[in-house]
Amino acid sequence: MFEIINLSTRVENFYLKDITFSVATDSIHMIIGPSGSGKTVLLETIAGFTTNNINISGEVRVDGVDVTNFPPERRNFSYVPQDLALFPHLNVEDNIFFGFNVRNVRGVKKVNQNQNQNMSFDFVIALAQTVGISSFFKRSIDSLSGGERQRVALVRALATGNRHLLLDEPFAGLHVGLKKELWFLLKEIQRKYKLTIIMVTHDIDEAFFLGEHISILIDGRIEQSGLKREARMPQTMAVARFYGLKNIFKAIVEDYSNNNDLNLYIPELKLRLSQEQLAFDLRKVQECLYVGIRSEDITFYDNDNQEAHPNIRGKIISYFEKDHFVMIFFKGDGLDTLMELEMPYSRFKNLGIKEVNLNIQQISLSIDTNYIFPIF
Amino acid sequence: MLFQVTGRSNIFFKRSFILCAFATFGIYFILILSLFYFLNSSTFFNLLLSYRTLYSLVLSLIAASLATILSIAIGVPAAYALSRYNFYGKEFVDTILELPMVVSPAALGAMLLIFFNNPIGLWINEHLINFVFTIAGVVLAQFITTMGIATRLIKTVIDEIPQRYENVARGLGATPLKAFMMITLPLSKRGIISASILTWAKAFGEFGATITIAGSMPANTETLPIAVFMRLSAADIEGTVVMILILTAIGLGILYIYKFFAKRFPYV
Repeated sequence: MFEIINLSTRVENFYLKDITFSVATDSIHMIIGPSGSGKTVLLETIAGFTTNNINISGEVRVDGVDVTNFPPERRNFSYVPQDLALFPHLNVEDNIFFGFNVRNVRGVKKVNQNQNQNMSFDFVIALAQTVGISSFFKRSIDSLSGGERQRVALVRALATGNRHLLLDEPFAGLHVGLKKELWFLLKEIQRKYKLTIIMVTHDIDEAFFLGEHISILIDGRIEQSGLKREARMPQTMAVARFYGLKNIFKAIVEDYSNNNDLNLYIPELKLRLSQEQLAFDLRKVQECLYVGIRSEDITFYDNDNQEAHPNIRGKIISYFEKDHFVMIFFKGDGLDTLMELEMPYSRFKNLGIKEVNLNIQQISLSIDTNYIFPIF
Repeated sequence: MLFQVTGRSNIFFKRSFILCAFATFGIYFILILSLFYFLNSSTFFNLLLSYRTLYSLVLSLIAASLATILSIAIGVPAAYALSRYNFYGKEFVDTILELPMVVSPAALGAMLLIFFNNPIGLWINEHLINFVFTIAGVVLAQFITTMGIATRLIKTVIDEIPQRYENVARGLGATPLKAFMMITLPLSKRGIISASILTWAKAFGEFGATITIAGSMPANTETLPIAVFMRLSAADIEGTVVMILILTAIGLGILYIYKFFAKRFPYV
């Protein structure tokens, strides 16, 4: 288990401010954020590469042990940087067994003595087979392809017996197909060897695919942290901007209903809706707040739907086909604001929207109020 | 048409620059070639195989090698510290490495001579090693001249090795010393060899500091560069030419052999 408690540091003019989160054993915690948000600095600080930095405060705990003042070699977690840092003067085998060699471990029997770290020659060979690199142990690092390099880096990190991993965007720069293949592989080995992983990335898809918990780091500060389903809903404007969320509207608290639900009015959409007050904190009547809804949580109907959710009638202004979904810009009748929506391509095709019908064909969209969230 | 013009200007650009490259070769080559005007084959071998010449040659080879070993031995850890650590006074250390470049070699020799006339220097001369007008002085002069340059060259090599390699090695369980020995040193090996050869070549050709501290006694402290000067002072043109040819052949020969092997064996 990782526990990061009030970790702060300064590297030149960059500040990492009061970082606190914990990672349960046998789980992946993803840290996402834009470029320059401090992801690598955070990971390097956790790994202990900045122990000579006098500006560090806070604690890093691993399985209850405070390792804040430990040098990296005594922290017992492996670090894989963005460029993987495979040692170019060593072949694949020597890279993988580097951890063995530096610990002066000679021979299989001696290795097996270290049972608590699960370090054994057989273990590394089995791991290499699982990851699919056992056939090229003698190859040089220069001769490896992108995907092979990532696999070697993962095996090298695990071959030490460390069960805590710090991964710094290890799949950056790979094409989508290979990236997905490696995501599945990482999930597989994480489950098989019960690894506890902190991984940073700027790829939101990657974060949501791999992580059980997600923290969003912006400008050296954790803006939001929580389970995957909670992280879907940005809680601050900075996170909403990082997600590229377009559907953000100002809402006014009109009153409270009998069952204490909050009645909100969104002037831009001329929409009234009722929300559980708990999620929105206690708000005063007439107080303004921002609410958002993700573009994929809005549903389209080609006629007025009979469901209880609020409907907005209007027209599609434009749409853009992407690989597996369509991005649509919708304008409600009598409204000035454009809404952004996404839906699978097959579903969009069934709606019968054609280029010639843009701005003409009337359509309704339905907003499930359960998916509307406050932005603080 | 536009393509043709662009193509021609590209060729002109390329050829004019290659011409400059050959000009550098030509200028030095003419200087070397002009030596042969005063060369007589019978006197060449007599001079080459004379005791005084062979002594100078052996002294130069040994002294330059010792000075290089000393410079690299202190230069590698010093360069690593300057490259990787932040410490008080780092800027001063980094600046003073250029001392042999900013003061003339003769001034550096004079500084050494003055030092050994100070109480500390006198004590060293009397109780440890006498450096003034001795072979030890030759090595010391060459070491002092090359130490800063060797450190600067090696620092450039270490700067180019990303620290992430060491970080990853530490994460895998290596102590700082093991990370240095198993990662940084092997990765910088080629650069350190290159720096050693340049350092050796610089020491081999060192004149000003050596003559100032060690003097110019034939068959004692007379290195090849000093022999060039001494023979020229005595109007011995043929002797001067032979000394210069030995210096040039050994210096350029070693650099060329290194470049040849470095190309064939990139990780050596």
